[in-house]
Amino acid sequence: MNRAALGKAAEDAAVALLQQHGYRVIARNVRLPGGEIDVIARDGNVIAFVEVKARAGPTFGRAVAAVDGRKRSTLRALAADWLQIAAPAARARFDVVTFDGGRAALHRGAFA
Amino acid sequence: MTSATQSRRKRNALQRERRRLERLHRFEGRAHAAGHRLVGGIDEVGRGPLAGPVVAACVVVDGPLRLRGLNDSKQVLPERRLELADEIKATVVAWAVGEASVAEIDRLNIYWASILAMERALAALSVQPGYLLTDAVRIKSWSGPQEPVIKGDAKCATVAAASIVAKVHRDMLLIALDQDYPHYGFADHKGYATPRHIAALSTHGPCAEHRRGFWRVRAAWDLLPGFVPPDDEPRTRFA
Repeated sequence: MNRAALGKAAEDAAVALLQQHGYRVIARNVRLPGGEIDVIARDGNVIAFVEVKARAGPTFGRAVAAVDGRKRSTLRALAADWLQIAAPAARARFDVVTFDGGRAALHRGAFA
Repeated sequence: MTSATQSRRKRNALQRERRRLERLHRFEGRAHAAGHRLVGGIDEVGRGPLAGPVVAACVVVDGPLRLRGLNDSKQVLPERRLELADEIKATVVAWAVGEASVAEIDRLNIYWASILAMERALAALSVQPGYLLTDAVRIKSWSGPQEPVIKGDAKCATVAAASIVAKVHRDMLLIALDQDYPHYGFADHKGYATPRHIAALSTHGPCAEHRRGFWRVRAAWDLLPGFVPPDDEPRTRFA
């Protein structure tokens, strides 16, 4: 499986995982100037911006580690842009869904 | 201030304006000199706004356009723009506007939709120009000679004139649209992303005249405020 297909499969699996956890998915692959948000979902009354990361194997470390400082600050900026229009008064949170060689994990409030 | 100084200043101002207008005709002058009697200028407005069509206009001239204050539509004050549009239409050999709808913008993307609007303006002309000046775009379907000028709306009199005609036409369309969709303030901002427009978009969600390919419109689509639970297919809610 190539990298793009791995990412796409991971996003599909992540959406299923989020739904299992009671999230309602609002939008996927939200393209904004400056980047893309993988999944936007509602967890109760909170908007969750979800980053999906997958690693096919252990060679390059764990997937969580790949959501680095730069990625986090990008996501913060993108989320702020989206929220300003979609839901200015909403409470929001950043979650990360990771897949390490097929093992899924949901990190609620992975960063702020 | 003595009256002599005043009249000297006035004379200087007039001369400056005359020289500016001369410079504004350097591309047209070259085309005329190369043997093209009819020179056309074409420009589009409304690439940036979140709503409404994109509008293009084309003007065809056989000599210099000596209109006071003629400049890029964005540089001319709104009232003067209206007057200038009338003066331009009365002076030129031919003029026409073309539009591309919001549906076409969503289907093609804004760049190709603006080209489509320009092609429609060209097709609507009663007299075809022998040489075409454009604002940094190439219109592939145009068979005659054309010259894309970077910042053409500020450098070519005909392109500037076209931008004014297009701007006035589009403003009129958006004022009419304001009657159909009064929530957004189209008559004021003409669809551009002002704070008021964004606030209205956020409160009321997009209308049929909003460009869905634009991220701000998309964001308003994704979730309306007040936490209306999204449907299973949230994007189709307003379709």
